[in-house]
Amino acid sequence: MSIDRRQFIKAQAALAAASVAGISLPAHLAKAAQAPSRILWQKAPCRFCGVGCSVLVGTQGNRVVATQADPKSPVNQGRTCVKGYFLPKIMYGDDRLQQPLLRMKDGKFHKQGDLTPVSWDTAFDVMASKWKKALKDKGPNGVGMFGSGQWTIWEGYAAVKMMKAGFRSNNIEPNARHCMASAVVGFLRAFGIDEPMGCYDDFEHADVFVLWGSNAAEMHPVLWQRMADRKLSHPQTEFHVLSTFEHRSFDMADNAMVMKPQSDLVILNYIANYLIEHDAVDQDFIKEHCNFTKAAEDIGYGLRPDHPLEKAAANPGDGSMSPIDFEAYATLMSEYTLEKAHQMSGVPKAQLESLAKAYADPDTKVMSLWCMGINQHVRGVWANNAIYNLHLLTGKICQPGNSPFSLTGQPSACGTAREVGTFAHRLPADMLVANDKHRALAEEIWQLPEGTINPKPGPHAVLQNRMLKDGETNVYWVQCNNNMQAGPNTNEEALPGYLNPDNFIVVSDPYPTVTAMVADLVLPTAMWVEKEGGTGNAERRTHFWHQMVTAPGGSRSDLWQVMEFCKRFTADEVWPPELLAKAPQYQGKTLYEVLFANEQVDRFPREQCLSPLNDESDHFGYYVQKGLFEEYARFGRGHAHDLDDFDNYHTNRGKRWPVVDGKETRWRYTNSDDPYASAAVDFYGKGDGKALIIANPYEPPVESPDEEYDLWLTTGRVLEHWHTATMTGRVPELKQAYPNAKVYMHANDAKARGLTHGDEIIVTSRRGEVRSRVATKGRNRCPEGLVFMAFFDASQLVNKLLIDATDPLSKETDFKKCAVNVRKVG
Amino acid sequence: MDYHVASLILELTPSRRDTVLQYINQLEGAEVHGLSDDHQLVVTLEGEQNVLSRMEAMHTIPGVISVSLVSHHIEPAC
Amino acid sequence: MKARIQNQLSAMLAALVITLVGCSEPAANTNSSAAPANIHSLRGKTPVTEQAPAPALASYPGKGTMIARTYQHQPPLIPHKPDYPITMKRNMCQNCHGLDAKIDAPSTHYSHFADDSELKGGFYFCNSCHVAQAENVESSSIVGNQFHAPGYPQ
Repeated sequence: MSIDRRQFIKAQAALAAASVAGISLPAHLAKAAQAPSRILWQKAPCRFCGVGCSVLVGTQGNRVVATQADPKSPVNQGRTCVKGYFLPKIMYGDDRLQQPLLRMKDGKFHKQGDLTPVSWDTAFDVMASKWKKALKDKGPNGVGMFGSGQWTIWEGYAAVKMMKAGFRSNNIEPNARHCMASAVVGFLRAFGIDEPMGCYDDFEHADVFVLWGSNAAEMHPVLWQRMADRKLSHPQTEFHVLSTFEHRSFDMADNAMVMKPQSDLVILNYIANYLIEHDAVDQDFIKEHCNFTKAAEDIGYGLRPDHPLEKAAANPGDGSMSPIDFEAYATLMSEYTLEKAHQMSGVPKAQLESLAKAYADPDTKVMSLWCMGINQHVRGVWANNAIYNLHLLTGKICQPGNSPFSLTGQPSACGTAREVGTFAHRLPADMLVANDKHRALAEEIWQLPEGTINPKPGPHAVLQNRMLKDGETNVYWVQCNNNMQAGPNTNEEALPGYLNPDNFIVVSDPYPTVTAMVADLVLPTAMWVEKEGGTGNAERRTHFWHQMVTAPGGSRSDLWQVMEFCKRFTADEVWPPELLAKAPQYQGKTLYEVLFANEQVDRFPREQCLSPLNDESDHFGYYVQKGLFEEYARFGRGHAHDLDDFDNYHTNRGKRWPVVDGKETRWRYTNSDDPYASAAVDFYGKGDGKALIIANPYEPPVESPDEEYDLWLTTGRVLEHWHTATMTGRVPELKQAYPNAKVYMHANDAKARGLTHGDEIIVTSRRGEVRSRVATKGRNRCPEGLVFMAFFDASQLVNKLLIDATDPLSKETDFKKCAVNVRKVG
Repeated sequence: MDYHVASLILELTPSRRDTVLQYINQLEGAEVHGLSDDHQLVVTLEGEQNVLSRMEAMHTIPGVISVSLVSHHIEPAC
Repeated sequence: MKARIQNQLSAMLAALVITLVGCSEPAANTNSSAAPANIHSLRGKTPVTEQAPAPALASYPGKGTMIARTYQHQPPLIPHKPDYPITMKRNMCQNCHGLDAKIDAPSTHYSHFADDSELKGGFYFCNSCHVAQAENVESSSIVGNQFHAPGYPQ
């Protein structure tokens, strides 16, 4: 039926009703007759966080005109948060970049020049010459790449192939390093496989929720809604909420605990000690399913090696563990008494006991939840493992509702950063570059000569910035993140590297970010439903979407950019002759031909894509996304990371891996749900089927308040903005909902500094200062001695205050603890 | 697939007028065409499913006193 | 570093002039003799190494009138200050927006209620989806947005 016909029928119908109601409506009829075609609705995951909500995107013509929460989504069940509801506007900010911009003076590249429009050809020509020089001068680590968990699965995969196979460089990292790395190392140490054993279905089964530092009410609102639903429908549900300050998640707390920074380690060990002392350990479970070890101690803070704290550490970066038995473990835990936990955390004893009892009670199902408070922590790996210890000691794991659950930050932190393995030390499906067998398998799948992949892990994210500053890396390509705002210690470590005259920095982004504004080349990038995509959420759910509209102007997706850039290099230029001699068929071939037009990635015809829009496939002449995905999926199939067939993900709302014979897995390590488990409990990620309970001591934070810098500063996010607000800051409603960052402070601390609510202040650390406003009331309530400031606000770059200390094992920065002082402006 | 177009008259509580308008505006396939002085709202509903089921939802909107069907046209698929 | 900043500043001034002269030029694929782009981040014109004064804390109107939706399924914005507590004991938003509310404020959408007229758990925390609008945001700090849904205000 034609649109005109529809409009006519509607106008007739309206006229009939209008005559009954006794009104005339020529203007409205005219409007109805002019109304354009109706909205086409298609599914897509939300662009923002790791919850992975599904939304329906409404398009009309070539524009997104609405979104709605997907009623068919098992994740969000017809709801999203305010960011998700405002998705239709994220692509339409006035300042969308539409052309490559090169820093130029007198018509050619100049580091001190101005960002000037150039063609893609010019952009790639300049870029390729810089890459070739850096590879020649500095070797594989001379070129670097920084992506994120906001890459789609195939974008991350293509980038890994370009770097690790093409340039033979492991100098590629995702900003998931700043976000999930401690969770990853925690999983690998305890279970031998990354990612949670449980899933979101646990929310409807748990009796007790423990939020370890997480402010899910703001950062994972849809999961918070599911917790609220559980609480309201089962009033006996208990909420224990721990944090270093009171936030919105305290609204639902039965046991609200404000603790001193870093004392989570003590509280966790106290609970372990309580379980042992009160005979609440499931002895059968630990005998059958667990081994005990002890972590190496005094491991430093991931600072530069010449830093006094690194020199003072006995075992800097030492991740080794030595086997012990239960008795030895009990002895190690015994020093973490209630008294000690109370003294160090400041939490009243009765509340600590109440928390310990929740874990101890054999009849309650406990879901522990955590995110950045535990991960962005100089002992983040230990803290992750200390949580698993509690669930393993009590056997409260791998069952519906008994679930230690690591929340994630980014939409595809799991799907891309972790599963594809876009880290400096990783290959897909939990494999490692340092492992001979893993490299051999990757080389086989990628049809590369033996020895192509570099066995030495590349630099981690923080080290990448240090190497740029030191001139060891000379070219750096940043995609889908804004590290000059989001990274730590930007004043001292990041910015000098970007401005280093020897370096050439490329930033791909849809908008001019803080990072783009200090880059040498800015590439305009297609976003979200302007390209076909796939992401993986926190519960192992892989979820796809089709391209629905075209990107503005000359914008191209990250995938197109990577694949096109590979055409600028031949194997002869970047591989040594002895390697090429093993694969003479690649002589004279471009990296694009070697990596992508390899009869695997290019084997599916464009017609198999059911969407009329697929710019990459139209350009390259085959169904690019499917080819990349199916090649990538070979890494995980048969290795407990099985993914479903590509096409299925376009019709369902995602499935949780391992997906075997089309069936997803909700709870891993149990044969009731997981086809890889051979028993009711089988931690098959470890050779002997046993998980590790790891004794980790308390060690102090890298920096604590003193006389000069007398306050703790903790940083984080807000509900209304996604990370650095590149997208949400351009949605006027979200901008006006939460326009600027502010420094939440206790009224007594404010008074002591002569401040009242709303005063302008300067916050200073040893690394820099930032101007802001003080808030003594609002949604957060800080205890005396601690201030909180969000990092979304580009005009208040709080992360420059942070020390770039990391967990020495995961290399993840501690964004939650440093020392500052606050004074009034003027 | 068949295409349905229905027109309705909703009688409103005057004080709830804005709320009702707000609800109708977000119902898929619904469109408001006018409001009479005696608080009768002219609305069309259209879509590929039988739109009459969506009439039911309108009864539950706070501020809606009654819902009357004026016309219901089904355009066969072609 | 200083040179770069000065350079950025002068580039911005130059770009500003160019924009005034030629702002109707479409974003074409230009050659290398093109003029510098007139762009800045959400910091505005403040270089990354410098600090602009912090704007006043957001303030929200005590009372307001309903803000029109700009597309289908947009959750209504809160036209007044948003600091009404929501705890397990009570949801203060429902005092005015509940089914039994006495004042003439828009009621909560019927989809949010269970059969017993209680808010469904998943909709209990109104502040997950409904946000207020500060009244004192400098318009120069708001990036324009070209989103438009036919039939709705821009």
